[in-house]
Amino acid sequence: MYEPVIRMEDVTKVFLGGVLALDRVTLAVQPGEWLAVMGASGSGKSTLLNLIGCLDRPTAGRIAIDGVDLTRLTEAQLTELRREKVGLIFQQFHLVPYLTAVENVMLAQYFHSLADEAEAREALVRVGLVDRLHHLPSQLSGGEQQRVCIARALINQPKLLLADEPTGNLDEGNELIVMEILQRLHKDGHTIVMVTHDPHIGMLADRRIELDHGRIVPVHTHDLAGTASVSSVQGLESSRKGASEEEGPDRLGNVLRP
Amino acid sequence: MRSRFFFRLVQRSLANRMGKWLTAVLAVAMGASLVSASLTLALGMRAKMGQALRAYGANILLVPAVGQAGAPLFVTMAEDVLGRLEELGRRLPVVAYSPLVYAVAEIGPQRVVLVGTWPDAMRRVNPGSRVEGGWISDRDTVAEAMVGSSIARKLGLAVGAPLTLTVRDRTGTFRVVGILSTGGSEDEQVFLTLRAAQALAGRAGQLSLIQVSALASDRRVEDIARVLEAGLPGVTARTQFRLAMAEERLLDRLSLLLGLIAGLVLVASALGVAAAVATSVLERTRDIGLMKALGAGRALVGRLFLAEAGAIGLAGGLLGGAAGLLLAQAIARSVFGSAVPYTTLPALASVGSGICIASVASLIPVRRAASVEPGIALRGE
Repeated sequence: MYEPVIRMEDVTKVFLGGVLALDRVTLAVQPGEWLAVMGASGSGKSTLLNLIGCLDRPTAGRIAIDGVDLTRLTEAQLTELRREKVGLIFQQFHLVPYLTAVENVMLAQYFHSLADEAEAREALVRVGLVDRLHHLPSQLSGGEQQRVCIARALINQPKLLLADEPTGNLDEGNELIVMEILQRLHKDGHTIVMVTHDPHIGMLADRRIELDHGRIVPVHTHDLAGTASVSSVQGLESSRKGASEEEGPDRLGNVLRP
Repeated sequence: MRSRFFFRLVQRSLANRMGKWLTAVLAVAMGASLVSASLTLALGMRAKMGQALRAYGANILLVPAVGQAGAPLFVTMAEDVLGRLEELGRRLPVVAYSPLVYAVAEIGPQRVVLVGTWPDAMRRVNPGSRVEGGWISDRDTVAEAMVGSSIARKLGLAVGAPLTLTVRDRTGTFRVVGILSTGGSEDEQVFLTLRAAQALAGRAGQLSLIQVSALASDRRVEDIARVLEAGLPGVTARTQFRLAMAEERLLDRLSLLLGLIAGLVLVASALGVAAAVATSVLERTRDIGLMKALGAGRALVGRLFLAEAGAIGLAGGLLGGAAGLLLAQAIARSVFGSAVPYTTLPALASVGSGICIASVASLIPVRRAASVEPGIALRGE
């Protein structure tokens, strides 16, 4: 048995004003595992992700990432741990608007160690953005921006990928492309924690947990009715009604190059 | 390599907010222009006054120490003092000096002041004087004389004319080689070499006065005079400002006024920069949060914003420095009727003050930027 990449024990988070966001959550994520965190808005999904991503501290309980206990770390040590171990993928992409695609990737390299333009370009080529290296975020589609965000998250080879609603702002065609990339990363052995409220997307993960008012509850099976067969992106596509034909498998084919 | 990407980030960020930074740059430029203008005026006008002083004549007079008996014209000091002065002068900004001996001489019925001096030193100490004919050829000649323009006119003396001088019972005949016009008392005097005058007046080895030209642009002339006085026994040093002191006082007041205004405008500039940086931090909270989420430490975020503020300060300082020089010229022309020389110090000071003001004014907003929580980037819109 491996040491879990993430171990949370009785983690509670109370925000100022007494809002209970997480209530005694215990969770372990194994290396190479793909975990989907599901639940309605305000259920504590993002709070959980922030805590795992070393962006916030729990009010009570213990969190260890790759064996390092976060509760004992200073702010600077938390920053360093995040830099070394965590890759972040955001629903809103969060690219720096005045930097080109390649510079946005280089930014993460720069904060980690050294900005290497050749390596950053290669990372963008791997997510199918060979023609978009020097475009500003405003010149990219949502899907392209999300792929820049993924390239940025992967550039420092983090142990842990955290994705907060990675397809929340994408049309179905781009959703397929992004999920395909995540599935590839999973196959390559990356540990992924993905927050989603979409049961179809959640079905692609190895394991799903559901949060309700800050507590882990049994996954609502009725949400997953008709999605039991989803185990691949192609399955996801067919499980959706009215999936866009033009942004289908052809487009995916371009992205799937190793 | 790391610093290259750092500058790329700063450059991109500045370019992205060019329009918004423009007001901050202008605010800095206003303050810096006044710093540059007041310094240019203060330094330039003082340097001009120093030059003017030298052009008008010597600015320090060494005279026999007071307390010795007799009327000023007849009190003398020993010529040995020149050796000490030569030695002291090497360590001070003394550009020239000329020893003088005075006597009252008669040209027929006309009484004139006879001055004996070194002709070469006299030329250096009085660069502004006009001469018709030439100067006395050397220190050792005993046959040549120069005549002040008023005396020459009164007595109808021309270059080449013979001149007979009598001091008490001694008489000598000289040839007029030049007519001197300074606009001052020299126009009423007759000049011989030091040696010739000492012999004629019966004062071998004695001096009445030493004129000293010190190259100093401000009140340092006083300090130099005190050093000379301390180093030369039996000698009193007097500074001689022939320029109206009123002009100096005007300059002082103008410098003070400009300095005060510059100070106030710099405070206003600082507030302008602080507001601009604070707005920038506020508008970019999400970007800052993102950078911190990607692993940027507080120090790095602070450095990024400080570098931007520094660049604004530099741009404002350069712009203000140039504007200040023009402003100084305009003021100098309208108040003093002449241009001031350009020097590097005001330009450096305005760039320096621009960078300082922008950086210091940014400290508080930059601190706020550095303490933005990384989690803020992960929260939804």
